[in-house]
Amino acid sequence: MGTAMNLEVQTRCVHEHVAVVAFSGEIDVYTSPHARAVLVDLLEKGYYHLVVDLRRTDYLDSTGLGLLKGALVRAQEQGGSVRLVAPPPKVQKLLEVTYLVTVFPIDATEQDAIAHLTQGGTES
Amino acid sequence: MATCTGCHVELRLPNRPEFVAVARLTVAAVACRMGFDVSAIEDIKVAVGEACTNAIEHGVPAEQCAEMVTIACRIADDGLSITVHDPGVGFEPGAAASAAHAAGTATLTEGGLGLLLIQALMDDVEVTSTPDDGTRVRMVKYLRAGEDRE
Repeated sequence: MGTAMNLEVQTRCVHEHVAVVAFSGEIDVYTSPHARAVLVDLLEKGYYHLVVDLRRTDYLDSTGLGLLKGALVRAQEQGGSVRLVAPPPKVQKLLEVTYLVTVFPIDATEQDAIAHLTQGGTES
Repeated sequence: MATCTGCHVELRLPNRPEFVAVARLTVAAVACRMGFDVSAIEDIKVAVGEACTNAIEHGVPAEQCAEMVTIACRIADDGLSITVHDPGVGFEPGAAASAAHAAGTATLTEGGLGLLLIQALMDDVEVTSTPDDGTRVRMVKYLRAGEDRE
């Protein structure tokens, strides 16, 4: 079986310490190591405020939730944060079932998330 | 899907991460044929994916690729029963339930959320695990009013 991976990750550094990561496709046990590596790389480079754009995330499971939680823990260790953007209803449901909606701020748009992080609104 | 009541669909997949999508998409196709709505199909996809992920991560090591994860679907009048079995060394289901509960508090870091999701998304869930027979996760999703249950 080939190594075709149904996950595309795009990153964009938008401000000092602020980066946007957009996941398109599926985050599961197969693709999550790649997704995790991208997040860890950004955190290690000093982008400890992450905006994770989930608008085009078609599928996300516990490994995906786990890597988001792991990134949040690492970001908070550096005084940073992780904000989620517009998860589809099926992903939102999983965030609610696992109570992770209580730990991740969720924004309607990428611009809203960036504004929170660049205009003095980094408290959450 | 009345004529299929009692039908059995079984997959045997290598215990490798790249095959988890094959399992969840196949079972989703069965559920779609049965008339489950989109939301229920998504629940089933995630639950099957979680059970297979657990089987791969906690079952027989991947290098022993001859060992398979078995996904068995039984179509009934009132719903779909799915059993995911791995021939691993098993675990203590009570401890897993406690871990799932802890995960629900959002205090867990990475991992440990799978069983919580299965229990939340499916109607009946039963986990049996022994050192001799590995782990079996049996889960049922019932058809609801408005869904096809002819």
